[in-house]
Amino acid sequence: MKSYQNKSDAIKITIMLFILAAAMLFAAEFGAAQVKLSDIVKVVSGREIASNIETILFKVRLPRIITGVLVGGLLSVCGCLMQAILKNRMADPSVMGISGGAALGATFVIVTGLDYSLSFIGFSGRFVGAVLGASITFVFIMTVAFTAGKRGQSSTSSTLLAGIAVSSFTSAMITVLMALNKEDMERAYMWMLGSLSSSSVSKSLLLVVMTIIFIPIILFIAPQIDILKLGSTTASTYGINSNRLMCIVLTISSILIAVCVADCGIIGFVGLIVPHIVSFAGIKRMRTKILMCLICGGLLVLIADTIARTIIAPSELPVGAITSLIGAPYFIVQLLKSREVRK
Amino acid sequence: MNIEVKDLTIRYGNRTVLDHINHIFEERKIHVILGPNGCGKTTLVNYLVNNAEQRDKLTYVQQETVGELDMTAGDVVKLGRYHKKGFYQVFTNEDMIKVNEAVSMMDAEDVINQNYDTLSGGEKQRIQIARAIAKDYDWLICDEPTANLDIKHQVGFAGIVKKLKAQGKSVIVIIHDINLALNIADEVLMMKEGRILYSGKASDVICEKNLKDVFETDFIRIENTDTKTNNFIYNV
Repeated sequence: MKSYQNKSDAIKITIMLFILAAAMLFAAEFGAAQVKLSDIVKVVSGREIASNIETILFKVRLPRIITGVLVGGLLSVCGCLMQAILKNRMADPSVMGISGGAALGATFVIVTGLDYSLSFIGFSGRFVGAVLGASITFVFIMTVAFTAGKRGQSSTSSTLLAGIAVSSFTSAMITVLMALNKEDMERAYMWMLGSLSSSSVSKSLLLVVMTIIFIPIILFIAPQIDILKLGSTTASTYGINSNRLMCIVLTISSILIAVCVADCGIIGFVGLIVPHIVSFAGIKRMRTKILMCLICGGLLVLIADTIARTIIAPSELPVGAITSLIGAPYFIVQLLKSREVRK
Repeated sequence: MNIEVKDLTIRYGNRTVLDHINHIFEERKIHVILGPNGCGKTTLVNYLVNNAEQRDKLTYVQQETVGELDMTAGDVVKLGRYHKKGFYQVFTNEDMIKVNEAVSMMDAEDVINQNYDTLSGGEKQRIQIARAIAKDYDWLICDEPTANLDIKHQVGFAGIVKKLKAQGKSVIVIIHDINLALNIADEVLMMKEGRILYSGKASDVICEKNLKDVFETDFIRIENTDTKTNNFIYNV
């Protein structure tokens, strides 16, 4: 039997990192204003470039690229964690209801005109509203899960059901708010479809900080999540407190989902399909899977956003629509292939 | 070190699942728990796994099939060595030896590279037992480990349990096969409605009267005069 440290996983991750780096370089070229690859190479090698090119790169393109890569990566990691913890292959960041709570918070801010009043330190009012909405939703979900656990019920299924209920509720409330405020409906709707057009240096820095803080924590606890799949009683013989682990994972996931959704609206499908794509590629261990989701999710959103902002330039398509158009057919093909192998 | 249970009572709502259980599970013995469905066997065993002082020296095979694991059977067995690994999860030669020994004991070499989720119920159970015995442990606790095993592997499991006892391990196992219990047990506990009705040496405890009390079913004892052993069949 092979050693647990699978060298082919390391090779796959390295290759994907190079592909992502190359994709980021090429994404920096494309947009309403063309930037030459030679200018990008000059920047990377520390040489001077024209000031307008520098502004485009550092104030517009780079924050957008970093935001896209990190949002895609973090949503994919959260999807991977949700599917493992909730033992449901169809779980994704929206199943917890956090995305819905964030969307409701942002929509409320937009339709009530509090966008400017609530803004601070470079973050818009809708960003603040999204974070507050996500926080309230998170507290509610955790209370339900904790209460169910104390009564001997499965906190996993209770969390899932509570998340679905909250998602439905927030979706309904958003519809009501938009119906009552038709003049703001388009702004709220376009925000919810997901877009990286409002990326900024402060938002991208926040995502970088979140990644640096939380990804190492997730990687550290990843092997425990593999054990948790065996069941909570079995996990306790390995010294793992399953309720505490679930609480940690859900808390971290909720924070990351809240920040991602607050940054760019709901970019659907990424958190659902990327973990499956990584699994189809033969990566099964949680720690390696998380690293691969971070890279592949970032690559998917980067490619989708590049298409979204260039295909009908200077207008843009919602990036969430592009991720679904790219991801869904690929997912179906892989699903059919895996069933053929099983036969 | 023995595992001791003192005056244990567990209730879920109005239902008493375990009722003033007192017992000492002595080390280096094979303890078999028998009883009808719903008598509290799994609850007792889960309590031991979650609360015993020597929890880090326990290894456990649960009753229910776990959900999708999305890994190979070999990787599932390797999970048994998780507790020995640090942050970097480096597997040593010693770990691989233990894993390969466990796989060999459970006759699972032919399925080791297959996706665990595509295995049959019996194959999954053998892999889970292999995973459990790959761990460093003093106590092996199994909840109906033979439920999905064919005759060959049930007999194989009996041999493994005896071998583990010879190695100084202690075993607590829930099974429904009374004759298997007679074959392997040093001590039998017979439970009903949350209480231990009878406990002691297998040949003393397992008799027609006690079986009738616990299972509310008539059993007939058949003596093998060559081996001087008893078997029990239920009288339909």
